[in-house]
Amino acid sequence: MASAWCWSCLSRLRPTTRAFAPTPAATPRITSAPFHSTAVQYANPVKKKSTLVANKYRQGQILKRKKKTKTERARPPAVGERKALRKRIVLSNPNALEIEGMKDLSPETMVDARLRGTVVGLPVATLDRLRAVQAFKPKQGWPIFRRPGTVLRRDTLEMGRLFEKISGDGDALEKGKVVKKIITGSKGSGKTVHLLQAMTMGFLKNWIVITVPDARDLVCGDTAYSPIEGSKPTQYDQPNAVSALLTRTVEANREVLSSLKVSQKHAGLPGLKPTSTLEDLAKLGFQDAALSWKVFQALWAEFNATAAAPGMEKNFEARPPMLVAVDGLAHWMTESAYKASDFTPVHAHDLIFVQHFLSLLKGQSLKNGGMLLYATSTSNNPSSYSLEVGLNQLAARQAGIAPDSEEYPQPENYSKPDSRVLDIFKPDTAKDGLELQTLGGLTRDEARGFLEYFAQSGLLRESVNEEWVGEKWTLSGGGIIGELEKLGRHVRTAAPQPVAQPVAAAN
Amino acid sequence: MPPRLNLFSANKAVLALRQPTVPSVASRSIALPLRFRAEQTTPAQKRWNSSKKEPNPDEQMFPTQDQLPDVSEEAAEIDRIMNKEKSCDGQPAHPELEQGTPVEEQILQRDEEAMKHMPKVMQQQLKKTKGTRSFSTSTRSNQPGVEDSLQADASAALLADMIQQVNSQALERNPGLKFDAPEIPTKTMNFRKRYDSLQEQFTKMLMQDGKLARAQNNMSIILDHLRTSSAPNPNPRRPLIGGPPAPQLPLDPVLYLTLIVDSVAPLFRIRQVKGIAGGGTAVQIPHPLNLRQRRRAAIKWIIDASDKRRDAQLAHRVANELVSVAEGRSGVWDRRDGQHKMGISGRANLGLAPRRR
Amino acid sequence: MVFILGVNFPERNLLKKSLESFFGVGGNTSSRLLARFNIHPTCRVGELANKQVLDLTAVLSDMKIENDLRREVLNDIKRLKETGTYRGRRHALGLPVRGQRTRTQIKTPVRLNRMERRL
Repeated sequence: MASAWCWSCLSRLRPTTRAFAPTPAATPRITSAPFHSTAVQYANPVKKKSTLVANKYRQGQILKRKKKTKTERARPPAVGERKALRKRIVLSNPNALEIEGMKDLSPETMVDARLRGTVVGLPVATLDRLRAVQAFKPKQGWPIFRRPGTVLRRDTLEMGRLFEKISGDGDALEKGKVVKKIITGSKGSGKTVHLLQAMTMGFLKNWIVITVPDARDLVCGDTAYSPIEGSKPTQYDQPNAVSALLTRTVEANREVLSSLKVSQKHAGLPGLKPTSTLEDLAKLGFQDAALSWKVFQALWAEFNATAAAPGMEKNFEARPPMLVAVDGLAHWMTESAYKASDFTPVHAHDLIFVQHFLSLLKGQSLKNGGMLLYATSTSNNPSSYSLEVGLNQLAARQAGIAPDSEEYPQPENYSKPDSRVLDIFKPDTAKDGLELQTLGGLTRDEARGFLEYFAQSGLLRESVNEEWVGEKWTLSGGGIIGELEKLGRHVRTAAPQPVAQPVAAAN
Repeated sequence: MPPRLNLFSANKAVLALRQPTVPSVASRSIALPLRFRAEQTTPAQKRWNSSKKEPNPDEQMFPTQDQLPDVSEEAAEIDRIMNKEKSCDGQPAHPELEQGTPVEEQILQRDEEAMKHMPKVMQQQLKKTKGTRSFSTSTRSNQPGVEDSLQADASAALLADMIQQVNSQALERNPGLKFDAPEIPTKTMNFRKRYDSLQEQFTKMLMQDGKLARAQNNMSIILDHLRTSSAPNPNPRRPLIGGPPAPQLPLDPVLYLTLIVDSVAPLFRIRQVKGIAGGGTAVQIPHPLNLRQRRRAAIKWIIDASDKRRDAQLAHRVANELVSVAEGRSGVWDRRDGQHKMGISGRANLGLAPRRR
Repeated sequence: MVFILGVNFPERNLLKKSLESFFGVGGNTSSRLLARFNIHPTCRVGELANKQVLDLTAVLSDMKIENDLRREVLNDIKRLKETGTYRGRRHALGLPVRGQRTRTQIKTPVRLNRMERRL
């Protein structure tokens, strides 16, 4: 008699509990998966496995391979060693050739139009101060030359002339003027180096140089922040960042600061005497980070003092002009990584440090004259639509388009522009308005001078002639200096290569 | 540059000073009416390693192997470089070496000192050409504008005749072509490589997980390290082969790298061949490698040796290992010596090896 | 070494990660905690002022974390089992609870779902 169970039903039977299961001897034991419709006894015999091994419970077959033996290194690099290596700045290569007759950047050479297109060295005396204000960045190609140098391009010479005017060397009319510039340009066009040139000139002219080497440091959430009591809307102080700023400023401008005396009374700073210098004042800030913002405000008031408070005139000296340089402006035009106590993001403009430097762009901000250079960056840059619109508006105004005309760039509808950002770029009533400076490529002559610098340093082994320079100029997108630098240091062809000689066969 | 014995050479020889290397457009315009070439500056300081074309590795020469050519040869060479095309009648367009070169053309023009002391005859000749002469009797002006007025001259008519003859000759040789057929570049000339061949090979071997950009970045760190670290202090027992003296090496990091790799490259690998000696033992037979294979072996050794170093970054480990190879301290040298020793002892087995197709 | 809620943390550890080492404090909770006391996200344990440590400890001790939370979760599962629900049964059988497929990829429930759930 045929069984009432068909094979498929049998195979669907699950061995649930021991009590119900038939004894193993009575029926063939079915171990196949429930979806399987073929009985076990028809299955092929199990093959011997070689490298393919069924591993564990419910795991597929995997191919076992010999693992590559790792050589043991004694220890991982020490904490901070990798970062130090990444941030290290080397300014000299003893192997590169010394260039004869290379001039230094000096008050004379920085306005000398005949030197346009040549590379001038940064004066050795300023190198330490430039390091102190973190003017050098790690990947700008400083370590391959004998000494740091920079090419005198058109923008540099123009800036040199501005420095001369504001210092009052030329005609006295321009003395004490404030120049406010936002520097933009494509990637590698030399914005940061332009700031470096400005700082060098500032040092040469004995200005006070204040820098924010990377605007990102203030908004990326890496330094401590604390709300300021009673401010509405809440503003935030960053004591460690301010303290670092004071340290930078003192280290770079020690000579100037130690010669100037305090001219006013400052409340809340008990350590201050009427005879203290500005250096002593700044030092109060980096000894106690909690005081740093107060100290910075006091210091700023001193820098901008045009006359002494009554009773303190006898030590008063006129304050020199000031250079304020900020790199990476776009970071200040978005929300920061900080959070308010209700977990909403803090806008960068609510950070009092940032707010202070942005407020300088409005009105007659530097009383003793000077220059504000705020550069945008194209590497590790947040995209800020409002900043883009603002810069376009600035460019349009500079081109003579009236703010009420139709061609004046406006943010697109429904794009939700950041009104606080746009406010910065609104037309200013003050006589020293904001300017936009766009850095482009070098001209061919400047490019030639720059590439000759590589050749003279022994790094470039080509005959630098008109044709070759023209080729490189085109390859670099019309003289973008960062690209030219890559082409200059790039060793394309080697010497006739020696063949491995059969000298060793005799050993 | 026109050939020396071309149509105008008879008149032109009188002109004492000619531009040997930079031909003036005017003098070229008649002899080579079909070509115009932008004026180039003379590559005065042509460096010995600045050739654009990469030589075939098997035909390479040492820089010191050939001696400096004499003045005429040098001029001819410069001319060949400057003016690669041939003249329309197929003659090479450079001064004829058999005839030598007028002394005023080659030497005096460069050397002002010698110009002062040159023989009187030559000085007079020099003066004559500069002197003002009535226009009608002057032999020939260099100014192109004046040439038209000379067309009426009988000699000019003769010249035009000759030019036509030459042109028709050229037409005969290239039927259907008004101008010479353009020189078709060979394949290798079209394919210009961005990196040196060894640098490329090294970069590819540095690559991990197919990340070429990272490997290239590492390579540039290595080259910068070679460029900035102090010049190697070579071990006299393990010198780098060929190349400039050690203090000059850091200025050309690619050459430096090439020398290091080529110096430790083994000449052969050892094949373990079973079944020819009998008894199941393997016989070691040296097998020659070509240049690329030799370099591959050397690069592999260097990278393996660098793994034992303690620097944090791969690029720094490799760079430091390279410097230690250059100074003869590295274990890579021992490795190569061992390989060569095995190869020498294995030479006896070469007869046993089955001949390969 | 800094004591936060009776646990000792090395000074160079990130504060955020240290807070997340408590059972019941994840990324979101720790971020909110930091924001509440105006501590920057990359703060190290060693940089905390004493007052901030006390504040954090006070808040953490009010929260249901660590053993209290564990007990609550286990009690919930126990309740499911005792009321004879499907979810309770799946917990007991060591199978996925929320309707996932069981043909593949159930290693985690096999490992964790026991009579006494592993936490």
